[in-house]
Amino acid sequence: MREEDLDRMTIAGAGRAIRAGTLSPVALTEATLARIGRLQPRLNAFITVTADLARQQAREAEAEIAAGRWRGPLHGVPISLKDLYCTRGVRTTAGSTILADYVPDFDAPAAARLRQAGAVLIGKANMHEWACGVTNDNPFFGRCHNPWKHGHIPGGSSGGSAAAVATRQGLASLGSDTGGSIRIPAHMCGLVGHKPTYGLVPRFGVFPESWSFDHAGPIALTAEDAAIVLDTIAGPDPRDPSCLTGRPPRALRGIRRGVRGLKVGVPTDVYFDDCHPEVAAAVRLAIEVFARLGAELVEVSIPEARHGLDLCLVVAWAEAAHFHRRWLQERPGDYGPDLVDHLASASAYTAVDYLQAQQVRARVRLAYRRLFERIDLLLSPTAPLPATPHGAEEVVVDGRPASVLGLAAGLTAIANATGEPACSVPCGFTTDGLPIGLMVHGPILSDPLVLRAAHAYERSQQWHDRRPPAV
Amino acid sequence: MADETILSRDAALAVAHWAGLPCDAARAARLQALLVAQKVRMARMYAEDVTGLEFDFLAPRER
Repeated sequence: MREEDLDRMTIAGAGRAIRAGTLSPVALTEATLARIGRLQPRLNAFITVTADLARQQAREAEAEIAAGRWRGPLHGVPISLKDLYCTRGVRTTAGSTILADYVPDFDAPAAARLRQAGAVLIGKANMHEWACGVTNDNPFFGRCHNPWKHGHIPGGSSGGSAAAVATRQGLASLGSDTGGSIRIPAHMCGLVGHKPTYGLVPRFGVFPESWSFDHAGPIALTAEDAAIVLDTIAGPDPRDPSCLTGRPPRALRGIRRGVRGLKVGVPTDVYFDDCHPEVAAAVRLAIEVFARLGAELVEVSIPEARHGLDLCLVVAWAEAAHFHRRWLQERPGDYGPDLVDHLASASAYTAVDYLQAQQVRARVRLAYRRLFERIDLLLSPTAPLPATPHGAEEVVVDGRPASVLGLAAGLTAIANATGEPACSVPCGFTTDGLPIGLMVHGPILSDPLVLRAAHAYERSQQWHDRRPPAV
Repeated sequence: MADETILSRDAALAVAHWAGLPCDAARAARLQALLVAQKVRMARMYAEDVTGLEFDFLAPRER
């Protein structure tokens, strides 16, 4: 197959073709490696490319499938992992020089499940240092660039994952999301990024930023692909005590049931504040599409949303400072200059501060639980701004300077505080050609409904068919 | 921190010292700005009435 044949490919489509014998996992992997070879110098989406392992896994998949042992839609499909998922025999850095030579002797459960499903590991994706930021301007492994506009951030912290998937350097990736780190890069790179319900996907073997805000989940080309990956990686693991017990809900089954009859909340406050006008316009048009698809739009006020960013910056950063406390004191020179100052200052939050924030968090959780007694889903911008240039720490909103981190994570962080599922799905582009994401947010364990709504919207539009200029 | 009314440069130096960071004037200024932002953030948190939420915070999350 030719490298350009990748550009119409999804996991669902590739999986069907591989099963039917019309697509070779070896050929697909070689085409993907050729693309990585071409794009890595420009985009820097990977910290480690696992070409030899990928070729070996592709050959094994091809032989197994030829022998009639097809494992499922991921069998023989190239994927990547954010480089904070521990991988047996493959270096895992978390984007830090501290772990530059760390080679785990085990797979994180999510990585192991992908391996068991027959996925081909193509590489470990670039990321913001220790997942603590949204720019993916990594001081040790280099900047990752947005494939829609070189010199712009891909979003983060799972920016390498998103840049890779947007350019078919692997057909999906696993990211992690503490304040939006799956959904923000999905929004900025024109992809579907799903942050699952807290505890649905095990985080054992995934380097933490914040135990109570961290989530593991997929970045994919379509909602259907995200559902395929989520169904593969969800489910309890005894090594992660935060895991939900019992059988996880299945996202792929019923994904085509549409949104007719659903009550969809449209926020009247907070969510559209400080929003770039083109982002607001695209999201409002997308919301109208839901009405045309048969959903009932319900205006809702949810002022507690204003606490999302503050909660993340107190609770998650305090937890991050705790995780890093020894390295911070013993190896401060092995942190990037922005991160070391943020971690040091976050160490100054007191226990009383942390507990007050947790109680505010409980209040926010209660507000959203009550909200979802009235509606099925909430629609909003994923983030109020599109991708920004690398190096720009602030942008001007309504004549006032505002931090890129604060703006980017302000809306996504809410679902990290509540533990509810939320997904970003492409809903348009700015006049500069930068992608815009719509966020679909639902109650605890409504992951199948969230992805079903994203799928219904996506199928009614053609945003996911566009290809970034970097390709 | 939330009970303090003044946040001096000494606070930044103390945090840097605790963290074992060499602290020149530039770092002290960055840390001081971050600490002031944290203080403002916590003021917003403390302005919230959380009476009665203790048990919700301690209870296992509903599934």
